[in-house]
Amino acid sequence: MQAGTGKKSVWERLQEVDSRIIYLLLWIVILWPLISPIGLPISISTGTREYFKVIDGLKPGSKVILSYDLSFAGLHELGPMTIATLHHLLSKDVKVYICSFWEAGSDIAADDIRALNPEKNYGKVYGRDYIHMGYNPMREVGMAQFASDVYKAFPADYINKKPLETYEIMKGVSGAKDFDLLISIQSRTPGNPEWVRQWIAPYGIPYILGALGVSVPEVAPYYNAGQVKAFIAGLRSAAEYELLVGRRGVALAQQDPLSTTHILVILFVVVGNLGYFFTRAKGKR
Amino acid sequence: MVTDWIAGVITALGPWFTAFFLLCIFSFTYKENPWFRFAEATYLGVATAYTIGFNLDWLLSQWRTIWSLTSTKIILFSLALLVGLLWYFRFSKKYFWLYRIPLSVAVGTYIGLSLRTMVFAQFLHQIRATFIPLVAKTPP
Repeated sequence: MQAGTGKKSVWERLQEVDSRIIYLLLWIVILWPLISPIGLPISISTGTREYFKVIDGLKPGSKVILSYDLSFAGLHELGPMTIATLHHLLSKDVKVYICSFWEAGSDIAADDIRALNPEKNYGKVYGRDYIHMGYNPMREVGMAQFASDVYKAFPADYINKKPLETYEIMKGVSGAKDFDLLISIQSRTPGNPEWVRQWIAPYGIPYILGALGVSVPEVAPYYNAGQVKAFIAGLRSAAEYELLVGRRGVALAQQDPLSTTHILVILFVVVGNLGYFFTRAKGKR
Repeated sequence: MVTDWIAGVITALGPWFTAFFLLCIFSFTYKENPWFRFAEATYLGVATAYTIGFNLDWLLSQWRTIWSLTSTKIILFSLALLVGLLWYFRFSKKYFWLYRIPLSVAVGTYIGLSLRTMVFAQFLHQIRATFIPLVAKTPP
């Protein structure tokens, strides 16, 4: 406070900005580029390239599991990479086995299948080229069961509710040893440690994953140890992956707001610090 | 079909409901208000119902496809259900001890399964990965 006047200086007022003003500014910088995209360029990281290469390098006829281990709460961040991964898999001559160990995962997968329409857009046939095996609620126990006997873990498929063994795609498939790649797009538990314990350590299945941005420190040790071959994390990686697979989606559209928001937050930090230092300097005088 | 019509209406209304509840939730950034509390309660109710419904559906599919086929399996399934129902004694002061039975089964199963490979997956393998050469090799 200025001595005698009772009026606050600009720097003092900047330190006491109502949080609602900050929220309003955030709303503006998020909405503005969503309504009118700027198209800021983005580079593609090594991690995303590795993830892309693992899927792209699959041999024809490979059997790939795509596990939707996510909830609706994680959908905004994981949804784009999930649909991009499914698109990439359907574009290739591989067999896709979709499953989930999270309740919402099955419905999200069914939505993705409906959105991509594999029969019309990729010439794939349900039950021959891809299958939705549904949901298993037993978490790590379910993963272990899946590894030893697919038909006990997922007795019927999710779309038609028919016994799994009646589908052509299930011929010659009994457990973990019959699959060539495991992909898990995951929120948290059950997720990476459970897959590593029940599938990767005992069977050595090649394994890649998509995770939330905050999960990177948890996944990194598994990646460094070679248990995870590649991983993408967060909306930024999803956007890079969308660029690589050539399917522009929600993640790319959200990159502009992500950048503008970061710029605003940096601005807040700078202004807050300046305010603090100037106020302190004035106090010393 | 009536069900198709209902599904169509729900699909059409979906985005409007999403927008409405999104605004209700984000109104909290202004201040605590009844709209936020309404959205919060609705979310919790829907999430709980969804989880229970989904798991019951899974239980029924298990019954239809595996456990109702032979009398031995029916007995085993019934026993498992009974043990599962013991969870609810968590809410009884008198019979609280019964709740410990399913708890011990669940904890024992999880520990048994994870310990089986944890030593390799999260201990030995991780340590081995840190054994890197002390002298860096120069690329050819």
